[in-house]
This record gives sequence, C-alpha cells and structure tokens, in this order.
Amino acid sequence: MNLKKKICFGFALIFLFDCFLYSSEDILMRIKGDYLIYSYDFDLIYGENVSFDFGEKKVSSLYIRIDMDQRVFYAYGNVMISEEDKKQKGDEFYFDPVNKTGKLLRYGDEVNEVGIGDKAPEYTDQQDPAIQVPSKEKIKDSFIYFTGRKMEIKDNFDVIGYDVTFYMGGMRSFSLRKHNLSQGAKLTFSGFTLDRFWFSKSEGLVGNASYQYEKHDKFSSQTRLKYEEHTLIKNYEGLERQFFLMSSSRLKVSDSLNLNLTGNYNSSNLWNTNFYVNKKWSDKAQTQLKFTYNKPIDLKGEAWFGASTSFNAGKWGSFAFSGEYELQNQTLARFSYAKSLIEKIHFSLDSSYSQIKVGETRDYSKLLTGGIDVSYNAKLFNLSTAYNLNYDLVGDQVLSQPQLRLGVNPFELYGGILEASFYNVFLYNNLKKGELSEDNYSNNAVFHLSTKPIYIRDYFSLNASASVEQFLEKEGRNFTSGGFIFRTNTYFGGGVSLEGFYSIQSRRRTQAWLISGTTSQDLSALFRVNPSDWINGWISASYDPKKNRFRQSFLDISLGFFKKWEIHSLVNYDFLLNKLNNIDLYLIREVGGFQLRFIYRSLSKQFQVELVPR
Amino acid sequence: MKKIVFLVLLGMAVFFKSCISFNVQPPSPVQEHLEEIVICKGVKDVGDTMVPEQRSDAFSNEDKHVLCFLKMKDISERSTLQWIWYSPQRKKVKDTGKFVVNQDERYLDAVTAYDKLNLGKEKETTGKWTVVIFFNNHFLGKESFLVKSKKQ
Repeated sequence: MNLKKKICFGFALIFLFDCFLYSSEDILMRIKGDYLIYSYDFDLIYGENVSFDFGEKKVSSLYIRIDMDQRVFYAYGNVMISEEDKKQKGDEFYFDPVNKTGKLLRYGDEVNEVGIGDKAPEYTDQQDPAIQVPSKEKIKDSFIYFTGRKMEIKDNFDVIGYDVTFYMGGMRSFSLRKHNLSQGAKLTFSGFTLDRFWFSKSEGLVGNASYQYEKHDKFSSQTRLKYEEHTLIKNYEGLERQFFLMSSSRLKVSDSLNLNLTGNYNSSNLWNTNFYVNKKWSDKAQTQLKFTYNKPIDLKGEAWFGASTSFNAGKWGSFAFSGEYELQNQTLARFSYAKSLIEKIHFSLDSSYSQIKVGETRDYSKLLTGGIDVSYNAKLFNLSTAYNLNYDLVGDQVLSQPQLRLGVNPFELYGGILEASFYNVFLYNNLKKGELSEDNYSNNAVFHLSTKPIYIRDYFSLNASASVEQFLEKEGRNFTSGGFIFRTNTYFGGGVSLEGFYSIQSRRRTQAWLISGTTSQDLSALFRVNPSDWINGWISASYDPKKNRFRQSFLDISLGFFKKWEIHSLVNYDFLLNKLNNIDLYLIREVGGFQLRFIYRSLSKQFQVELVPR
Repeated sequence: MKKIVFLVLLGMAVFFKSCISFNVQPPSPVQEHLEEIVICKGVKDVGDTMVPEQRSDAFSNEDKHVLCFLKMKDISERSTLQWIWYSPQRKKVKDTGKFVVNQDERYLDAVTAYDKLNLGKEKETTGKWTVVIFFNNHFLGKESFLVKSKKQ
C-alpha cells in the first residue's frame, strides 16, 4: 500500500468513526425556524419564528434563545403550546427539555403563570434568560457562528445543524449539509476533533487531529494523527511529508483488572506497540504483565515479554520484582526492598541485572547493579549513607560509590526574621578493572542564610540572602564560592510595582599556592504594570556595575482589545551587541474553546497561524 | 502539488463531515427592530431622538418616578407599542394601551420612546417590579427593577 492509499485509508477510518458519533447520542430537542443562529464563541442559539418538540407537545414562538453553557432555554413572543386539541397561549416560556417541564407566562391584568410538567425550572435574577441571553445582534458579533433553518440538540448538549452556513468574523463562508456545531468546544466527549492546523516556514503545513471514544467508564480510547507536508517549504532537505498515528486504549474489565493497548506509527516505518494487563490482588499486592514490540528504522524489531509485581508486607517492608525477556535473548531483571524503622530511619535496597545486545552485533553487555541506602531524619538534622555498586560482567569492571550526607534542617533565628540551613556531602569512587584500581573522593559543604521580607513601609519591603560553598576533592581542584542577593519591592498602587535586585557572586579556586577566581555583579530592575484585566506587562533591565554597562533588557506587554482580540509582545534588547535580539508578536483571538493565534518571531523569521484548543 | 490539494481537501472534508454543500441559501433574519430597553430616572433630547439618563435597576421609595426607555430601529410600517407595568404583587398597575408609531408609514431609522411610572406609597411600591413591552401586539421584551425602602 503506497503512502497516498494509507492516508486515504486513515481518513476513511476516521470518517467511519465520525458517523458513529452522530448515532451514539439521543436527540433532546429538534428546532425548526425561519432563521436560526448558533454562536460557537458563546455556545448560544437564537431563533425566529420557531417550532420545536417538547415531549408529546409542539411549541411555536416568535423567538427562542438558548444558552447551552448555562442550560437556559427561553421561548418568547406569541408562544403556543399544542397537544392534540388542547392549546395554550402565552408570552414567555421558560423550559427544561431534559425533564420536559416548563413555565408559561401571560401578561394580562396580572402576571399569570402556568406550570407545564411536574416542576417548572427556576432561574435566579442573574440567570433570567430574558435578561442574560444576548440578542441576535450580540450573537452576530461572534467570531464563528452558523445560520440555518434546522438544528438538533443532543442529550449531551451537542448542537447539530442541517444545511448550515458557516460565518467567520461576520463573513459568509461555506455551507454544510450536517455538522456538529459545538464540536471542538469540549475535548472530553467522544468524537473527532481537529485540534490544530497551521502553516509555518520551518514546518510547512501541519495538522493535528484526534478521535476520542469513551463508554460508561469501561472503555476509553484516544487516537491522534499528526500530518506534516513539507513540499511547500523551499529547499527543505528532509522528508517530503510524514504522518504520525498514536493510539491508546484502555478496557476496564473489573475494579481490579484492566487491559491497556498503545500503538505509535510513523510513516517512515517506525512503530511500536505495548500491551499491558494490570491486576490488583488487594490493596497491598498488584501484578502487571506486558508485551512490547518496538520496530526502529532499518533495524530488526524487538519483542519483549515481561512481568512485575509489588507486595507490601506491612511491618516486614515492601518488595518489588520485575523481569523481562526479549526473543533475541535479551534480559532485564530488578528487585527492590524498602522498610522504615521507628519512623525516622528508612532503609532501601535494590538490585538489577541486564543483558542487552550491543547494536546489531552478536555481543551482549551484561551489567549487575546494586544499592543500599540508610537515612535518619531527626527534627534538627538528617543523615544518610548510601553504597552503590556497578559491575560490568563482560569488561570485568567494578565501580563502587559509597557516600555520606549530613544536613542541618532549616532553622529560624531572631524570631523568624532569619533562616539558616547547612548540608555536607562526601562522595567516594573506586573503580577496579582487573589488577588496576583507581579511587577519588570529594566533599561539598554549603551554608545558606536568608531573611524573610521585611516591610519598612506598607508599600516597601526588602529581603536578602547569602550562601557560602566549599568544594574539596582528591585531584586538588578545590574552590570556594560565595554569593549575596538583595531584593527590594515597592508597590505604588493600582497594580504598579518596582522590583530591585542586586547580586554579587564570587568563586575562588585554590590549588596549592595558587588562588584564582572571578567575581560577577548584577543590578536589575523590574517594573510591573497590571492596572486592569485588559493591560498588563513588565519591563526589566540588567546592569553590570563591575564593567559599568547595561547587559540586557526585556519587555513583555499584553493588551486586550475589542471583540476578544488580544495582542501580546515579548521584546529582548541586548546592550552588549547593541541590537534587538528578538521580538515575538502574538495576535490572539478567543474563539469559544479555541485560541486563534497569529504569531511572528523575528529570531527565526517565522510567521505562524495556529488554531489551538484552550 | 495535486497531491497536496487532494490531501488538504480530503482532510477538510473529514473535519467538516464530508458534507460541504454549495447550494444552501442561508436564511435571512426577520428584521429585528429592538435595540434596547432601559430602566432609568430621566431622558434627554438629542435632536430628533432621546437618550436615557441615570440608568439604574434599583430605586428608593423616595424616587418619584421610574422611566422605561425604548430604542428601536428601521421602522417603515405603521406599528403599535404598549407598556404594561406590574407591581411586586404581580398585579397590573399601569397600561399605556397601544400607541401608534409611524402613522405615515415612512422609513424611520431610529425611534425612541418612553413611559413613566409614578411611584406611590412605600407599602405599595417596595419589591421587584416588572415592565413589559408589546410591539404590534406581541411580547417584545421586559425589564425588572427593584424599589427599596429608604430604611433598608
């Protein structure tokens, strides 16, 4: 099967599944009208001269407004409810299509209210659809909307339109015979979704689509398809096109048993599949059986069978075993044990063995590793010791790594104003290969002291921190480093603040009689402006006091515009090179469950258009 | 290039459920005349029309009156308007009857009108009021407002 046929077959499968989507949900309500409009942005329906089914009854009215998100249903103007020969007239009809209940209002000498069904829906003043649901004009301000004469609402509140016309930004586009109008707004329900579709000079034409299916918490499946077309890019050296298919399915047989199947395929003939069976025997014991097949490009595939189990034996500790075997005589095995003693002492032990093929040769690497770790956590300090062993059985090489860690837990001084901490790590390495033996060791000690924010005024605070580190090793590449950081924060009110930052870091290397090192300083300021929801941003500049020059400056600004348009820009200026390093510009439009983004990046000279789910 | 066009079209067809149709005539909306209904305390003349002043949905029983202002557009036929006011007890307290608008059947790009309700004594007025507007004998819209006692 050639590539074109494979793609066609893939699309045909998705198309087939998509048909199941429409037949899988029952219809809650069918609406016909002289004019129906569905706003994708607001998830609203507005209609004129409409009629719809309401249980056994037929309802007609001059207007209808439905807020799908809030589940508010409202028909008004010459409302007529008919059932066989019985007819009821009214001015407004608030209804609940799920329970088939409603409230019919008539305005005469008094407000007359007639209940339809068992219990009429109750709306608060804030929910009153007569007030809350926007008018047709407001709905037509939507970025994406559909108009038509027939729509259906499914019992999962999806809206299906027949012979609908698609409008984008108020401009009429194509028409569709049948379409799920709310598709894509929610990504959690079953169905086909075009997640993302864009073009860029570096990637070409790219599309992401997914199909998700769930049934009664028993079965769930998600399939993703990514397609890249590179022939539109000039001088592209890679593949002309490629696609990725990723699928993951889970079947819950019972509360204690589930089966999982995953598969990934790339059109360059790279694929893998995994099958897992998870069995939970009790709260303390579980087992997993698995089969994995992995096919790399131009290499022989590998088929692995494996099993793992874990068991919590209470006061005797926790055990875990796993083993895997591959048909080309490759093996993996692992054992671990952990136990806590008198709460503060923790002991763990693990060991593993691997026999893995080296490339496409007939040789195998054989490694045996092991580790023991004992730690003690007291209120004031923590102490731990560990021993790791790595034994190369083929090369007859043994690496031993004992280590000792001591830390003083952070403690407060002067009523909590100051906080201090300290830790020390000692490492020893020994490598034995035949008769040869090499060893080295190192010791690293770090002391850290910091203050909590100190408020000099309501609007002004400062804090500082300092640390010192001493590193010693057998080879003599010893160094001492220290640093001091000072921060201030001034709040001017109205979302405007200024942050100041000064740091000095020094690193001194000592080797015998030689002392060498570097010292760096940084002085930075960050000015934040966040006065309202529609504007926020910050600008920062960093200055090198030692060399008496500016380093870099960043500007980040976000502005909200009319009709949910938003502009966002990130600018970076390099004072050392005296040029604008990068400008990122985003023009963003919120469209229901999506963001439509126009992006320009000056560094890569890239322009992208993206439709991305939020 | 043909392959690309083919694939893009096929992808779009799947996304839009393979049912793109080229012969659908989109429906035209019935001309919507209502622009806004506003509860306010006054109105101001601005040339041939009016604008509402002191918009509010809460009044004190010391306020002497409440206005229900209406703005409509694109009226070219003889039409009728009617305001009906209902007390918190849901009783009709005022009915303007049907006002004839555009007797001469000229095209009017904007029409503004209002009705005023005089508030009575506290015991009769506190609570949630509703005013309903009918246009050509059918329900056009409604607004609610609250009248509170000064002591509250």
